[in-house]
Amino acid sequence: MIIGASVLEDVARAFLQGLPPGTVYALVALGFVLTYKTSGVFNLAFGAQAYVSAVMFFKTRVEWEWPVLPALVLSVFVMAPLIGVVLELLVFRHLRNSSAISKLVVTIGLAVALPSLAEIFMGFETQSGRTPEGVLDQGASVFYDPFGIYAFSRNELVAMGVAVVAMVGLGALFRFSALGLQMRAVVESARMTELAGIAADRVSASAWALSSLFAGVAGVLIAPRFNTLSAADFFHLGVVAIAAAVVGGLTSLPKAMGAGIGLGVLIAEINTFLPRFAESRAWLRPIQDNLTPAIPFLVLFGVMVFVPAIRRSRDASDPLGGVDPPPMSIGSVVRTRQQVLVRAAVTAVLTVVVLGVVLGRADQSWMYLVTQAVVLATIFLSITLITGIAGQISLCQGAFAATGAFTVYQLVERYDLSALPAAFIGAGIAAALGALLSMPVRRLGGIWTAIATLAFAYFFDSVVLNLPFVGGGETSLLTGTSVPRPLVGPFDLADDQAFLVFCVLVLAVVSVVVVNLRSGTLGRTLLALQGSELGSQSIGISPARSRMLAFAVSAAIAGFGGGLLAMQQEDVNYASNFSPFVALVWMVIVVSIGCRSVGGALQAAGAFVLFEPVILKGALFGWLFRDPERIPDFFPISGKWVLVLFGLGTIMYARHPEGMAEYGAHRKAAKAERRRRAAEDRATAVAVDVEVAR
Amino acid sequence: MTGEPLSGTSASDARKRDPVSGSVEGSTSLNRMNSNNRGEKNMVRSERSARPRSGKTMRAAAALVAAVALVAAGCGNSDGESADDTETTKAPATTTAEGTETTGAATPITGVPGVTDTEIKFASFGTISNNPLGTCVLECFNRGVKAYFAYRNSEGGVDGRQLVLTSELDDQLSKNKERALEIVSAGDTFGAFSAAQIGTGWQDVAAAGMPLYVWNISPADAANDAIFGFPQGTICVDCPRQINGMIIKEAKATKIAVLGYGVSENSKVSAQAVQRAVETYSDDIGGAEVVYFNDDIAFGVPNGLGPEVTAMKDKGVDLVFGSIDLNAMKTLAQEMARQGMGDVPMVHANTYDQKFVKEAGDLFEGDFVSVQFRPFEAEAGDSDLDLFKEWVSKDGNDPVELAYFGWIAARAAYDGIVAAGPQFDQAKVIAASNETLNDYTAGGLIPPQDYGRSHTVPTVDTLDQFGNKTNCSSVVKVKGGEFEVLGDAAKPFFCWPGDTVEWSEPEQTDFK
Repeated sequence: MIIGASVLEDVARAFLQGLPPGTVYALVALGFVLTYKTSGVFNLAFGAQAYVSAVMFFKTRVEWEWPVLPALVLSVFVMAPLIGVVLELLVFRHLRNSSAISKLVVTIGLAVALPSLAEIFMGFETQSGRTPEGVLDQGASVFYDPFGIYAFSRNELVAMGVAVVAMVGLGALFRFSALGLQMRAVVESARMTELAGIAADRVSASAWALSSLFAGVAGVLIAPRFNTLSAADFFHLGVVAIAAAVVGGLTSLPKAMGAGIGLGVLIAEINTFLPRFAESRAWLRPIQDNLTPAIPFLVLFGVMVFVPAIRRSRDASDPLGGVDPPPMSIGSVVRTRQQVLVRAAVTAVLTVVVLGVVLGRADQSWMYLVTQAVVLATIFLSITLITGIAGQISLCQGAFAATGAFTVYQLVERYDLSALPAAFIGAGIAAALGALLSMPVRRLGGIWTAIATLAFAYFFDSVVLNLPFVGGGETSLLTGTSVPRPLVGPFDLADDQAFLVFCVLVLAVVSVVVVNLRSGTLGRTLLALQGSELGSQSIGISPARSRMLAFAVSAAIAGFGGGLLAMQQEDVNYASNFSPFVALVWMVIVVSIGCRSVGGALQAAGAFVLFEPVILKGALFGWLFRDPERIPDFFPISGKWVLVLFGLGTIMYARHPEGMAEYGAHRKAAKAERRRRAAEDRATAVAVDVEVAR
Repeated sequence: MTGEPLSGTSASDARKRDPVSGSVEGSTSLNRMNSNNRGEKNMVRSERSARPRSGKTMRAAAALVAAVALVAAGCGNSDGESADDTETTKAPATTTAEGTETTGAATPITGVPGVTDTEIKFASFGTISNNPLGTCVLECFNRGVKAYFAYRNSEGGVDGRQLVLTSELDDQLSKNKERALEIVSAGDTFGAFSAAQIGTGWQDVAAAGMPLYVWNISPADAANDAIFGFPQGTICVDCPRQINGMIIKEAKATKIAVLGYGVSENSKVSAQAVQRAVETYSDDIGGAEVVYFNDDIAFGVPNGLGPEVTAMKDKGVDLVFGSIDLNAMKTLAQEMARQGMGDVPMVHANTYDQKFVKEAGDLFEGDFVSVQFRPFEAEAGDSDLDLFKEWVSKDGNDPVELAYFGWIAARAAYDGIVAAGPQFDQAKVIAASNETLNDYTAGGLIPPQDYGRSHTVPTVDTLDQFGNKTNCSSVVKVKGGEFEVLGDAAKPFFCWPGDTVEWSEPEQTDFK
């Protein structure tokens, strides 16, 4: 009986201990639901918006030493809604008829861009020990113990109170107020609400202002939980909170809040009892060792795969959407066979010339950068396949690439295998992993595939990577994760120039493979599935099989590219090369520039690697002036602009899913076509005139 | 020889492969495949023209696989030597004592990168922006470098040549290698300094034959004859450390908790080493035992540490070791205070930050911080501690840990050049540093380091080969929001024999 009482007390204490982090998840989950209900956008940038307000509050309170009230007014009640209105005006107003997945991609871009933009303009850098303050004095050091078993700080009580008030208030807003009804109506059909005399644009702007205001509130309340203010923490938090929002079907505020708190409590209960059980049950120890840090991501992945509401959800579409001009058709450059040949020849010549210049002139640093761009282009082709051709957003390409890289490392380290065959084996293992992953996620589709793959990326990061037979464990700490360059026949690829040539050849082969896949059965099948899944099934296409194949091939390409990257750097360098956030940036850049074509992947890789050294560091000016000394003084520009520019570049995706590169080519081709037709017309007119004159 | 071949391969790899048999086997497979294709060719031609290009693609893929098999069969691993033909250079016969000043005029030197008649140029690279911990890394390190250079230049530099830091490159956390290669390619600096969270580019600088002086938190990255790590040349990451036993004894603790991050191998191994120390020294330090061990903490502790602290409390923990960053230590201290464990002391691995501790109020009162250098709170004695404080504060900067390491690294760079003699070059400086800096204390600021052998990460079994002759640490304790040296402030180092991890009573000592 005593033991029973003790266990009950432990359960109760863990429950209370889970409430503060659970409240944090609940606040973010409420934010997701609020934004989705009022704008129809699954806003992955919610955490970034919250971070921006938290930074502003930090600056005003800690650095400028403002009193609480003006700091709160500026950061939460002025800046946050303003950001929302600006986003609505400049971005989301124009995306009403875009697909949910397009909007998701835009929010991913914003999630990457907004924190850097805020840090640049506010002059903020994460500082250790500078703990963000709460809204109450001594918020972190004064405690109240209402139940006598666990005390809450003032900050935590305020956050819990605000979460409850927000849930009730927002629920009432949607249920009882005209504005709430109008917001939901605008999401359903902006046109229909306009017919009812409601200014849809104004309502939409109000909705974004409200959800951004809530992001601001959440940011300021969440910040004191971390002893240092960092964008990564907020993004990470956002990913975890998705699980709670999804449990609520993205529409139910009480369910989202309950799930958020439930998540916090679940983690606390597991952290309380699992170690105890593991002490007496040896078989639980590996689970405790490996899975404990990944519980949030396992929950998220589980929710994605097992909550049926996810599979039933469909993109909302405006029944009167047709009143608006239809979204621009996806630009596509149609070329004759002759044009294709000419283009291929020009590309080949250009490649040879550039390669010649690089091989002949580049120093070690530029050689490294160019080679890295070529290798990354190979990896980016995996995004071309999965996103551009299969229409799936995969945010775990970094995990697949890391699989390839670590396979090479392990096979070389343990079995003394040559790095090149090891890379092929790595590609095979990545392909198997991709196929395996596709099984639970292939039925999800749309934004859910993206989120499930994001959960997998974090699972890989927090669990798989730590397995000694993957990341190397203690050995990697003692000796690093070095990877040698291979010898291929008589060619020693330790030579940087030889390795670059080798990488170009690999890129060419992978490009041909991707082009052939696109024009082959798989590509056509995937395109058909994008057009109509039901229609495709009616003609015997298996969506599951096709998507599994697409995931597997894409993962294989990423895996091989990862192995190649490890060889290039002679080290795996997971943190620098393959972390979930890095993979997110890859996706953002490829999608911005063009995920449907090989050229898009190449340009994206070039931009990813070379934009900073060439543009932001002013090398271009140095070359133009033929004198590095004449580079203007405002160089180098912060590298954060890469994230800002390409993050914001995803806005293009919703309107032009073909990306900047192909859109530009398409416009150029269309212009040339118009000129050609005009010339033809003129020629015909002249001929007619001549005929008439005769 | 300035760099070691990359590990994981050997020169014999290339000889192990059998290109002939691989080639024959691959060709046979390919021929068989081609033959099969020919057999089907006529039959499928009409069908193929009506189908999408799957068959063609499949054949292309098969051919690709065969080609891959061919290539793979002819593969080995490079030993990397083709790219590294640097010769080993001996130090000059005459060695120079640590800290010897030079007074002569500059001897003309030509063909040495970064060396002119008036200057010796250095570059630095490391983490400034995007540091998730928010700690001041390269900027603070550089303050120390510049302060030492300013001091040394005020004394005449190196034979009249001024020591200058000409470029400071931010690796943005993840671009250390890129910045290293920029420095190597520019070829206009003699040596380099680095303080980085991830030192992926260190080996590139070393491979280019440049001496590199680093803040050594990544022993695998620093394992190279041309890389000199500070405050320790190298670190035995998995060795039980006697200093932890001594702290347990000092705290009269018997029930120990140890925490580490699950996602960081460094943190995990460090936590395991503490656990090993308690187990190894238990009988010698009053029967202490680890009653709570958790090396799976989520990075950044987003879920707080409530259950973990409750478990510690239930087990009567009276000393907590944290192999986690200083921000998480603060979270831990807050949670312990909340659960009534505020009086239980903690042992910090990364919290030697006066400002941070002061701003935390009484959260860290009574805690211990173990450091591998002469603490600022120690008596300066004959050491250069006061000199460091004086020069680093000339620009209005506070003396902080990373600036201290920068100063020590800059001093080692200077001492290496002096040891190499008037006709120095990079190889001579590396060689001279390895030969002469073998009882090196940087003016009494660090325990003696032997750079002749501390370029390989030692293990328990190889301490006598790669470890230092003595294994010394200092400990500071937080009192009233400030640090104070444990024991005699005039003798701040506790030392044990360097070739063993066996327990013995420490010798409290001082170094000049």
